[in-house]
Amino acid sequence: MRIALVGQPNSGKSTLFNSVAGYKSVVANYPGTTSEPARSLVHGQGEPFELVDLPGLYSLSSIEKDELRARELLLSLAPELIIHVIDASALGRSLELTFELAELELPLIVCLNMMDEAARKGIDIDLPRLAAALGVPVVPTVAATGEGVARLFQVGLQAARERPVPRRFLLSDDVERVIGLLVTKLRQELVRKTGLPTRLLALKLLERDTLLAATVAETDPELAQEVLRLQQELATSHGRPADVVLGSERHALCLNLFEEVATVRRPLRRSLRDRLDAYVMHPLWGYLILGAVLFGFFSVVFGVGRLIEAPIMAGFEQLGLLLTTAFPDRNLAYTVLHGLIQGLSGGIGLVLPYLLPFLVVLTLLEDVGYIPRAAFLMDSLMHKIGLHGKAIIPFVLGYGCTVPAIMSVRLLESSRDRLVTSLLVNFIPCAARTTVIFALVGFYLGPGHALLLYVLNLVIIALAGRLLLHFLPEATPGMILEVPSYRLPQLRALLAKVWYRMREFVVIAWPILIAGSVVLSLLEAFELAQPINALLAPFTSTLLGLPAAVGITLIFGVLRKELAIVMLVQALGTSDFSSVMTNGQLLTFTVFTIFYVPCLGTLAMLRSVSGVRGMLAALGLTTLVATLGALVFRLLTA
Amino acid sequence: MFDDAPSPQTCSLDRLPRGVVARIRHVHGGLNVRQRLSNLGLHPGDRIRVLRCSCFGGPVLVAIHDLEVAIGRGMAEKVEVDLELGLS
Repeated sequence: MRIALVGQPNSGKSTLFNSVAGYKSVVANYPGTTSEPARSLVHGQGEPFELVDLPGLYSLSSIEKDELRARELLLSLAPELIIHVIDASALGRSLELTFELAELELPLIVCLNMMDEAARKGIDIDLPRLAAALGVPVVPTVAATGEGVARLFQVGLQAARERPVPRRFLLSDDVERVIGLLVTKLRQELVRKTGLPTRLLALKLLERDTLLAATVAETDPELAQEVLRLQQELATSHGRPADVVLGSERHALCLNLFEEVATVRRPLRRSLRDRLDAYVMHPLWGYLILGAVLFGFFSVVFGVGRLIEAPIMAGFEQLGLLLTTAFPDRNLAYTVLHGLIQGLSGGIGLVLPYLLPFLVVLTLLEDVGYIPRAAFLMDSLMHKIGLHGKAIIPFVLGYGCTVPAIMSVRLLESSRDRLVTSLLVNFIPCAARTTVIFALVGFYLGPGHALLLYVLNLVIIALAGRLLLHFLPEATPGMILEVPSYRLPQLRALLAKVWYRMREFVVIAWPILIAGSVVLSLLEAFELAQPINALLAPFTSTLLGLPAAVGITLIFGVLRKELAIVMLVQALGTSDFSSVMTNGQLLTFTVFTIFYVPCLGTLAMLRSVSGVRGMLAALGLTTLVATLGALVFRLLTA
Repeated sequence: MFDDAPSPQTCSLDRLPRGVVARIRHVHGGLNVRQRLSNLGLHPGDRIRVLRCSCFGGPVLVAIHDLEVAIGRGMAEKVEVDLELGLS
């Protein structure tokens, strides 16, 4: 038995899933969090069943890539039951998807979730009447508190056995005539190929579904002509494109049904939301609050991070000393253990202290519903580099640590925006790179030069953004985003989500950090620094004009950027860098270190967020920009 | 009726004054724009009201079917509305 949760983004599918399946799916108070379906075997409702949490989708059309994926997933899953999860406070809009799901000819029940929110908005829903109109059971729930969830699955399992037939909603007579005409022309072969029932296939073809149109054009050019002719017929008789004709009729049916089953009482008082938003989204106060929130975010993450980091790092130092005394002859075992400890200290001592507070604060902001409001404020600025408002979050986080910044790229809905943001975020100097900037440029050339580097950094990001915009043009003319009500975060859900995300980092990044450390430790032990430096010399000394000895430090910098400094001391044999490097060389080295290859933890996260190709693109772009930037500085300071 | 010449009370959504209730007349632009707007409940014939504009050519916040939706300037320009219902 397989049950699929289907619904619009932000309707609470994942919350519902987690309340029965344990914590496996990430939820947040913004649309589009579930990009991969989470599955879980659920026991305890009589018979065990597999529950699948599908990515959010607004309709069964395939205009946007992410929605297309959700539709394909749903079709390939062939569930024995579909639960349509609806945000009861947005019932009018959500019913359109119910109508489409009814066309799938699979057992269907409706879960009216967030009933508490609907009540707050003054929406009363006549449940028996809605169920009768739809022809399927309707179960009210509040997934966040677990209310109604047990009953939902009881009703669901019963429906899967009894297979109630959802009522089919008919459009106006002349439209139905055209649909009927097309249905007679659809061959069984096409129905099998697309996996859609005949009537739904006809509807989608008339609505100019891009993917289906392409399939038809390939398999049956004659039918493609016929579809075009029928679309034209509808357009001529209604004076609007065929997709608008069908969309408007379905929309009108939904609104009529909504008015039939729901009464909306206007709240007497101005809601808390309105009063808060008057400041939070205000053209002046809004930005001040946003600044304060981001500053607070940053301070908490780094304040708490530093507190946790110090004792952990002290512990690892002790461990390192112990190791040195235990292996006075520094054999191979020592080298491997040394590398292991280095890797663990990188994973536990540096990243974890910052990641934990980061995840707590980010999750809090998400659950409260602040992110869409920040996006509203920042949209016009981010638009200039081809992104939308929400992308501000990864950029700010990037100043702390690139790993969580890349992680937060998942806030963005379109895969194109996720890719572009994850590429650009690599250029933001994280805390480790800030150490390099201050230890080299700030210390030897003065804080003015350090500040200059930060400004230059922003200029380069803007330029790279424009460049990427050229290669990866925006798919749509702008943002469209629902701004949900504020919600009080639930502690249990918050902690569970933090744990889920933390676990993701541990699983992805730790093995790479540890393996990388062991390799570097071995390089050191076998004195491979010289040959590596020689190998890199054409690049480091000939092209960039740096001492050849810095080659090995750049390799270590990939493990953790601040290691570049530590290794520089070792490589140059002095901690007074100005005695062996000119100011120009220091600047060139720093610029290269800021921009080149992100650290291993970041690379691992990049692969997880935007795939191997995204990771390789980031590698290429960062190396290119770092080399160009360093070259410019070499020429400027020559 | 949708092919009428724009009457004086017609404007694009981004120019609709705050607080004025209007009715969506037409969505310009392609299938993609129409689909994305209709996903969030914006269809021709629907009542819409601007709650808030952000400065620097940023998005507008609208109320539609009792929900609040932020629409980027580029999208809002494509939504043509009729001013017919006065202030609410």
